[in-house]
Amino acid sequence: MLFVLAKEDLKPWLEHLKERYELFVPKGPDGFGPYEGELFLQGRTKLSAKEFFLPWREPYLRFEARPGGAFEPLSGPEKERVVFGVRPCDARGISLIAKVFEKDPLFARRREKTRLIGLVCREPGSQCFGWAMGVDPFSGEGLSLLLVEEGERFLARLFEKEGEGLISPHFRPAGEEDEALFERLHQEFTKKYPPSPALQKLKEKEVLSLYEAPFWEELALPCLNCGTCTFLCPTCYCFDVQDEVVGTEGVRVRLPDACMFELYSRHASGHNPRRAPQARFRNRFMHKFKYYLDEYDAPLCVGCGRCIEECPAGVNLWDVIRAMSEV
Amino acid sequence: MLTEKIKAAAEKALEEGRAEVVLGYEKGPLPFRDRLVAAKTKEDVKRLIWPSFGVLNPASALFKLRGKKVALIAPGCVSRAVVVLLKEGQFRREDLFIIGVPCPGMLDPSKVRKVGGKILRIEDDLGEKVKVVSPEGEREFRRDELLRANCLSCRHPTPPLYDELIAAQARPPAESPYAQVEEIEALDEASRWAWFEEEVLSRCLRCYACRQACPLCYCPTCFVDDSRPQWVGKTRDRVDTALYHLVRAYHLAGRCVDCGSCEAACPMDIPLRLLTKKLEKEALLAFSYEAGLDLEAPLLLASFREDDPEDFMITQELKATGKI
Repeated sequence: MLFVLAKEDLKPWLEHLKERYELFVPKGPDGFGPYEGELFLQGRTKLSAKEFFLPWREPYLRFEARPGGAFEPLSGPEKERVVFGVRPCDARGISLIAKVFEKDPLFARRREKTRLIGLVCREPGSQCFGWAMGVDPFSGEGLSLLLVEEGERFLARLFEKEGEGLISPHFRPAGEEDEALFERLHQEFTKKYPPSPALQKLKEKEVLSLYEAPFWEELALPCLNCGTCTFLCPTCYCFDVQDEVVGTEGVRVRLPDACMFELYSRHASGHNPRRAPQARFRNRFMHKFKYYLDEYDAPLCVGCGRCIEECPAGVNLWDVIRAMSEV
Repeated sequence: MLTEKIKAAAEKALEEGRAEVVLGYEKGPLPFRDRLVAAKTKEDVKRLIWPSFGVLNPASALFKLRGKKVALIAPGCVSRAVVVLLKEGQFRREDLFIIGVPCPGMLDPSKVRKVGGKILRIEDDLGEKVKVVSPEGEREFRRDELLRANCLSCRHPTPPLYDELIAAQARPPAESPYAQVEEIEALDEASRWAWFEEEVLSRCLRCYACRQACPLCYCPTCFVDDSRPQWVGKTRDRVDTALYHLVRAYHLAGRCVDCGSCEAACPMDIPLRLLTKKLEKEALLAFSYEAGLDLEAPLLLASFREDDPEDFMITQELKATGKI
C-alpha cells in the first residue's frame, strides 16, 4: 500500500512511533542512536544500521566460571524496535547477512524484534554504486516501510501486511497519481542504473584463477589491514567470541571482527593460513565477489561506497573488481 | 613543480641503481585521498606525485618491502621516521635511498570534506592557496585553513636525513607546536577525562587503523593481539579502548615523530595524535629530546645521563617532604 506523509508531519509521526517502540534514527553523520529530536537525513551515515543486528557487543551466555558451573543462554533485546532512516542499500545489506545468519538464534531474534523504515536517496552520493551491485532502492528489500521524498511530502510504501503499527493518522492513502509517480520513479531508476556487467564476468571466473592472479600484490601494497572497511561495511559479518570473566561470573559475548586482522585467522596452534597481509586482503574480496557470489547469486556488497570513502590507504574497491573480472 | 622534481629524482634513483623500487604516492580514488605506490619501472615512475593528501607515512610500507633496496620520497616527518627505524635496527642504512623533500605541508581530507558538497578536483598551489572545485563552482581557501593539524604544528618540515634533497620551499617551522596540547592541559582533571571519553573512547571502533598506519608500531604481535594471555578486552568497552590508546601512546614516547598518520588514518576523525604530541612535549621539556633528528644521538629511552636530576622520581618528592 502507498501512503502520503506531509514533511511537516515527519517529527510528529516519529514521536508517535517513539511512544510505541524503541525508536532509532540517524542522529548525525557518524550513525544511529535513540530518537531525541535530532535527525540527520543529508546522506548516509558513516556507520550503517548493521549494528542493530550484529551489535558491537552481544552477550549470549551467562555462566559460572568453574568446572561443572551452571550456564544460562541469553536471548537478546526484549523490546520491539524501529529504525528509521535506513538507506535501501543498507537494508539490503541486512538481507544479505541474513542469507548466512538466518538460523542464528540471536540474529533471528533481532530480525524479529526490529523493523526498518527506509529512506530513498533521491540523488546517489558521490561514491555510491548500489545499483551496480544489484540494489533496487524502490524494491523495499529488508524494509517494512519505504519513504521517498517528493517536494513537500513523502511517498510511503508499506511492505508488510501487519505494518499498521507504523502507519499513524498523519498518513493518508495515496491517490492514483501518487501511485503512478512512485512507479515512474522506480522505472526511471532501474532504467538509468543497471547492475554491473562485472558481476556476470565474476561468476564465470574459475576460483583458482582469481586466487592465483598476479594483481593482488600491487593492489594490496597500500592496504594497512586495519578494520576500517569491514567495520563500516553494511555486509561484513565476521565475528569473534570472547568470555568476559570477573571472579566466577562469566558472560560470553559475540562482537564484530575483521578478516583483515592477523589474529582473526590465527589458529590455536599458532599457525596462520593467512599470515601475509596480502592473503587477508585477497580473502576479503574473494569472499565478497566470488565465494559469496557463487553461493548466493549476489555479491556481498551493496555499493554504499563507505570503504572507498573512508579507506585510509586509498584502496578503491572498483580497482579490485575490475582486476578480478578481467583477469 | 614538485611532482616533476619527484619523478625526475625517482627515475634517476632507479636508473643509477640506487634502488629497486621507489616508495611514493600516486593519485588515489578520490580527489582528497592519495595512495602509496611502489614504482619499479620508468613507466611506474610516471604515476608518482607530490601527495597533497598523503595520509600514510611511506615509511610504514618499508616492512612490506624488506630485503629490497628502496628509495623513499621523504618530507621531514618521513625522514625522521626512517631515522628512528634505522636507530632501532629495523633496516640497514645502505638499503634505503632517501629522496628528501622540503615539505610544504599536507592537506587534511576531513577538513576538505567538511567544506561540503561533491568535490570534483582540488588544486593545491603548495604555497598560499587551495582551490576546491565542485559542480557548483570553485571555492578558494587559504592553505592554512585546510592543512593537517600535525603540519600546522610541524617544527621540522625539512628532512634531517637524506641522500638527495629536492630543491623546494618548505613551510616555515611552527612557532607554537604545542598549542593544541596546551589547550587540553589547561582544563581541570575532570574536563580532561571528559575530553578523552567524548573525543576518543566513545567514538573509537577498535579498527586499529592508527596502529597500522604508524611507521613505528611494528611489534610482530601487538599487545592487544596477544591471546595467551590476553591483556586487553576486544569490545568497544571504554576501559579496554582506553587501555589500548594509552599504552600505544606510551609505546611511542620519545619515538613519535608526529607524522600524523594515526590521526589521518582514523575513519572516525579522532584527534589521536594529541596523546603522542603530549608525550613529545614531555620529552622535549624534560630531556631536550626530539625523535628522529640525529642518526648518531642515542635513543631517548635507551640512554642515561649521570647529571640527570631525576626530579620526576617520586623519591625526590618524598625526600623533600622529609618522608624518607
